[in-house]
Amino acid sequence: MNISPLVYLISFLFFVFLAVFFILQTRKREKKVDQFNEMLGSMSDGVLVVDLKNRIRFVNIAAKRIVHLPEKKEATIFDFVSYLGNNFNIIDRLHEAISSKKEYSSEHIQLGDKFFQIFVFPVQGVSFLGHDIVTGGMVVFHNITSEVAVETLRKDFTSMLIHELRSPLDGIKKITELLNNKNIKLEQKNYEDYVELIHKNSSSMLELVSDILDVDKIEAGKFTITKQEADIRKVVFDRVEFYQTIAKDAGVSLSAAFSENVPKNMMFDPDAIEHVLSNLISNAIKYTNKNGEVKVFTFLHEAGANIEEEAERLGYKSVNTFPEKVVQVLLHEKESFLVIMVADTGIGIKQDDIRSIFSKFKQLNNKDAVSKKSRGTGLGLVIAKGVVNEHKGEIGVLSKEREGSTFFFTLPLV
Amino acid sequence: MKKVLIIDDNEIFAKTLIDSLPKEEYVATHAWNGAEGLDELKKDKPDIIILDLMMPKMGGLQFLEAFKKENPGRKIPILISSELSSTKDISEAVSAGIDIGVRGYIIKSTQNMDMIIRTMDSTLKESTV
Repeated sequence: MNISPLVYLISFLFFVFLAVFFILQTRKREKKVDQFNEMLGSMSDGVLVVDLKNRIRFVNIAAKRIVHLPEKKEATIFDFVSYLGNNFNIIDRLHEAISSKKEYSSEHIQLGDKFFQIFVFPVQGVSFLGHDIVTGGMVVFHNITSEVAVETLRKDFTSMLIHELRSPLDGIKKITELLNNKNIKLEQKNYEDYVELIHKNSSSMLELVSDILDVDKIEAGKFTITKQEADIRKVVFDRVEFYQTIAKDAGVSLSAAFSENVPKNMMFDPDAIEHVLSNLISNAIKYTNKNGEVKVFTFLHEAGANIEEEAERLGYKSVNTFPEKVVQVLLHEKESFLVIMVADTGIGIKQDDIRSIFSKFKQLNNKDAVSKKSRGTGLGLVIAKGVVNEHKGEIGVLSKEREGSTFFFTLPLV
Repeated sequence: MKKVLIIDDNEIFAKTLIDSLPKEEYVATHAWNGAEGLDELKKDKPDIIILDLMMPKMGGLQFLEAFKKENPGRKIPILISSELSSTKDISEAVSAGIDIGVRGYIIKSTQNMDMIIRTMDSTLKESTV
């Protein structure tokens, strides 16, 4: 019987094969786990995985940072329990998710100066016999601070709009109640004053409503202009004349300067440009102190010429040099175009605010305005940008705090 | 004749209140903001003040603080007048001004003039007792 060496050999080979197979399988699995850990580790959301006894099986750096733990320090569930405190009962939520096998997502939760939405998932595995079993729970801390900031801006914007509409509406109601009250006898003069106030307030509401509609159209890409041949000098001159009374009341001098090369007729939408000018001029008056100055410059920029020199030739004193980017774009422009600048000697705009000044939710702090009735919705500049863009022009602002601002826009000649 | 000082930047509110007040009982003065209100107080002694909170230059809260500083120990019945939305501001102003005479508040946007005048009447009655 000499088969035993053969049996030994075969069984030996079989065992070697099994050993190699197991080692390879484990390696493969470890590699997968490593990859998985690496992925979770690099996530910006905080991730925490625990077993059924709330022992931490995995925690990424982001999660440690959220609870202010040093990266290298071993974390325990108690670090999370004590940091989250009453804001989020992590143990109960994990228990719920595990026992119900259902995921959970929280509302906004503020931790320090950040906002999070916290998700809790049951972690499922496969048992030896192939059944699905829950092996623990996973907690994901999703940072939603920027979303919350946008939401706050949106809410502020809405409440500002409501205030701007309610205040004149309430005023009109108060006046009609007074006029209806038979016990009160008004003099003719008072009566006229009230009619004037009703007119003023309803006009301001109507303006606001059409501004909201315009912004809506701009955002939806449905804002259109109707170009026609018109005289830009006349449009600018008329607007400047229109605002003379308001400027005088505010103690601000308002004037216009035109260069000789401004074309007599060009293609643009006179109503829309009138609206832009109204916004820029009324803003300039609003944010300029008594004895200050607002001046509107209109000139033709000739291809290749220095735009700052062209403006200075008309008497423009720069409060701030044109941003390099703008100058570069304008200098390399092969075509000539029209430039309109509304320059004031007012309070100026903070550098931080300049970037967002043409965006919907931005309005300068009302307290900054100089005159009494200078609350603004900030929608005017959004519309101005929409109108100028639709003309394929550029709009921008140069400003220095306490020295003044210059809003400028360009219009192509064709 | 009772003298009332209205400190408010809302033109319509001030105007309609002045015209609604019974002419044989009240005589009214209007100031556009807290600073103008303080000036008026130097000229005359009103029996009651109607004080708005949100005003340019000097708001209602600042007015109350400046009044306290400039007139230690002086008391005048004051009604805070505000919008419905600023209940937090109202309670702040009421607690800041309780020791100088703040008696309560009126809500401009929901109360009609009759209600507002009735509140003024009863405040004046209480403070003379």
